Amino acid sequence: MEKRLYKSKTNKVLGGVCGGLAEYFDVDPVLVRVIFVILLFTSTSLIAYLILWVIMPQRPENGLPSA
Amino acid sequence: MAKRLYRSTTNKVIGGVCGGIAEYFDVDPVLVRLVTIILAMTTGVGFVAYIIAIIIIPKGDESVVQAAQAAPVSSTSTIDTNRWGNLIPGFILIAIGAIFLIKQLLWWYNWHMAWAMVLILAGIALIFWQPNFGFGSHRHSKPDSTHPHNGGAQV
Repeated sequence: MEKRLYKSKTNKVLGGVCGGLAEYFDVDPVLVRVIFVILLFTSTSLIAYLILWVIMPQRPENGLPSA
Repeated sequence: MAKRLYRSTTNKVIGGVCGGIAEYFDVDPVLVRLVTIILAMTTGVGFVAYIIAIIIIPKGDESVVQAAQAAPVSSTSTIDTNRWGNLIPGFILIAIGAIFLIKQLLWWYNWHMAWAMVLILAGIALIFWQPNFGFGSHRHSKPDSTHPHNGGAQV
């Protein structure tokens, strides 16, 4: 199956959204979080984060093991 | 059999419309949901389209869903955690929306006014509710004095 975007269960601080994005794009989760926090100053990332929190599904147990 | 468009019963946030479309085209449901939300926020088309879709697209087969849920245990747990996981962002979204609404409805509303109201109410409370607080502390002191006795009796 192709790559799917999931919230991360292992790599989470708040909702696992940044961790999930990092796993999807295979980058450092800290980098994704830093970008989100910087975007907070433009007040766009809060709404974006909440929306992603709701629409991204949890990774199923039998899914790919997360790094 | 031809491929049919159904509302997904396993892959849903609201009505399973986006999940169903994602299953039909075999793409990531998150992508479909993002496109829908962007369409809803920018043009408003997303809202109307979603409501129409809920009405005209039939719900997926329940028996198939039950079979799918019975086979891997993970799929049911995924839905459950998603349900509870939505509570926190839901409350935050409601709070943000409420702040926007208050700012729109009450044109005189601003933070200075709110703080002034809080200070005035606090002052009124201090002056007029003094006896009540006194009674309250007396009532509280009674059980407090009995507690050590109870504790002593238990020990």
